[in-house]
Amino acid sequence: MDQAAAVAIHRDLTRPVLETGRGFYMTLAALGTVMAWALFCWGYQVYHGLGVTGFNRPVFWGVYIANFIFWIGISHAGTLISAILRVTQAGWRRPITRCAEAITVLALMIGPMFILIDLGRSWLFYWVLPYPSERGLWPNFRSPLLWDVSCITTYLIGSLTYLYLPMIPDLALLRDSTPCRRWLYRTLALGWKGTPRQWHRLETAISVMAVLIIPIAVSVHTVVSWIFAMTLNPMWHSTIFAPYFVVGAIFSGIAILLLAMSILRKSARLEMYLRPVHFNNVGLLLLALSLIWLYFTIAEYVTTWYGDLPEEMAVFRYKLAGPLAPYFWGMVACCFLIPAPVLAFKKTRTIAGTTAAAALVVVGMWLERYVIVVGTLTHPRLAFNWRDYAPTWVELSIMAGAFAYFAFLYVLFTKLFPIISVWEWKAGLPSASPPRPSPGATLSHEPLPR
Amino acid sequence: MSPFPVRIIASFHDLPTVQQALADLEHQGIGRNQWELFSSQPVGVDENEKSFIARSALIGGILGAVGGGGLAAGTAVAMGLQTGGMPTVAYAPVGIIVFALGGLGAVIGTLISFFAEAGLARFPDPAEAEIGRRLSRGETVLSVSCQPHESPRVEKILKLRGAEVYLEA
Repeated sequence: MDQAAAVAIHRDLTRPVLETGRGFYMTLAALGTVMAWALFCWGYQVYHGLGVTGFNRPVFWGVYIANFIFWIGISHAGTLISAILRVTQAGWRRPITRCAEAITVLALMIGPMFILIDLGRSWLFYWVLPYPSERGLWPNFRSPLLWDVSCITTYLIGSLTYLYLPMIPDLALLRDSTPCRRWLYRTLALGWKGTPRQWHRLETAISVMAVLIIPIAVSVHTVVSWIFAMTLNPMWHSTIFAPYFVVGAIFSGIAILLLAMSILRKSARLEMYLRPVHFNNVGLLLLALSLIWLYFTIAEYVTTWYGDLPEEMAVFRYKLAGPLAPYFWGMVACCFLIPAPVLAFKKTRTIAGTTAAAALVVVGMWLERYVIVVGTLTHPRLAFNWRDYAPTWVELSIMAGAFAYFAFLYVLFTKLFPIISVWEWKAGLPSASPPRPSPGATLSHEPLPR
Repeated sequence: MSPFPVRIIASFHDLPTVQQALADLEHQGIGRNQWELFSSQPVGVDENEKSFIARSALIGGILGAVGGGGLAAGTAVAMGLQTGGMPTVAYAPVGIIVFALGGLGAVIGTLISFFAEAGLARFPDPAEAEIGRRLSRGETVLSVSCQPHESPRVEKILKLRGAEVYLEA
């Protein structure tokens, strides 16, 4: 690759970091306003108690837990997709991996927040941590809630590592080429020099992490599903819940990745890097996941319907023909009926088409989480306990704040770090092949032949 | 302290030229221990070179798994749960915690061994600021350490290969 190309790539990919327009501040201000309102609502809930929400016996998990599952699902966007593409050496992954990995880390910061909010007395969260106390109480690791704490902690640390490692060379690049925020880049680059040994170790570490992170990511949503499936509640106690949740998580993750790609393409002027082929390929992945999701949904609901157990059918009817019917059929429309045809035909699998389909899938997958959580909670096994649930303005405001917070963090991330990996992009160019010399070439740590 | 008092830093526009320059230096008796290469893109190295990152991940994973198992089983025993005749230490939950903390140990093992092997998280050499600036311009930088009497010869070889050369005492 010639030097002019390297400089052009460097300039294009670091431009969003170095140039700040009015739109950036306006976006942050708008998102900050929504966040401030949500913070007020949370304060209101803390002051008045959970009575300001729609919770009542037997529904104590509503929108908050639906959001928790939704955001943990979204977190499968990056690490899992990026790791799979990296392990399979898909060359087209280069402009989307960091974009996806950042979604993972930020979504993992948002999701568990809802557990704290749902607790009511959020300040007692540390009771789930294993520490010796004078009460002699220990967290009970038989509880799936504790499994979640363990798996999500591992996933967050693993995802942060997986995001950070490939960023080190780019952080060094920014350290050496930009006057602004140099202290930040110098600290985070950790003295990276780009020696052959460092490159080799980096590639090894990324490969090890890619292999490690896939089972960890799968385990996270498996364990999230077991929070429900390990209870004996109707339409939760299902053997296919774990793969159903994992598929849904990857489905929603890919959808939000497409949305992020579409927004970044315009806002950061990355049209040369996020090309139609990337939307086409990710769109095809989304189509495949839509079909797999449909298969699992049919398997889940048809089995329940054919079994015809009274307590299961109560939930079934509540979802398909009761108060949750608009949510359920909205989910089917948003996750399959509309996006699948759009994504199936090449003519409509354009940037606009895939973006619209992805937006629908995000909505549909949120509805799915809501239907799963609320449907069963409102109809436990004992019929005297049935009760409807509707979220209040407090819950909806906090939910809106979480979406704004995610967007806020993502915008900040794109301002601080290149959202497309500069070195990976350069290394992927056809003319960049010479950097890997043939065996026996001089770039070896062995003594050179005399 | 380095036995070579003079350091010559040269920047090249592409890596194949660096390879040619290195071959020339080799002919002139400048050994592998006298040069260091810096690149803003991955460069190939001898595939036989040992890295302990994968093994560290494995060791970290084993330690994490053992710790996780101990934590889950230990808290169950410490809590003294009434299990109605069932085992106090339940195997399935312990297995899940073993898996989760094993994964955590493997991640931490990978990270620590990467830092150690790549020589990161150490105080940076201030002399390398110029190297960094050149790397950011897409150049490949070669640093050659030599004796003062060798420096004109080294400089000439590098310049013949089109390098931009500067000396540093």
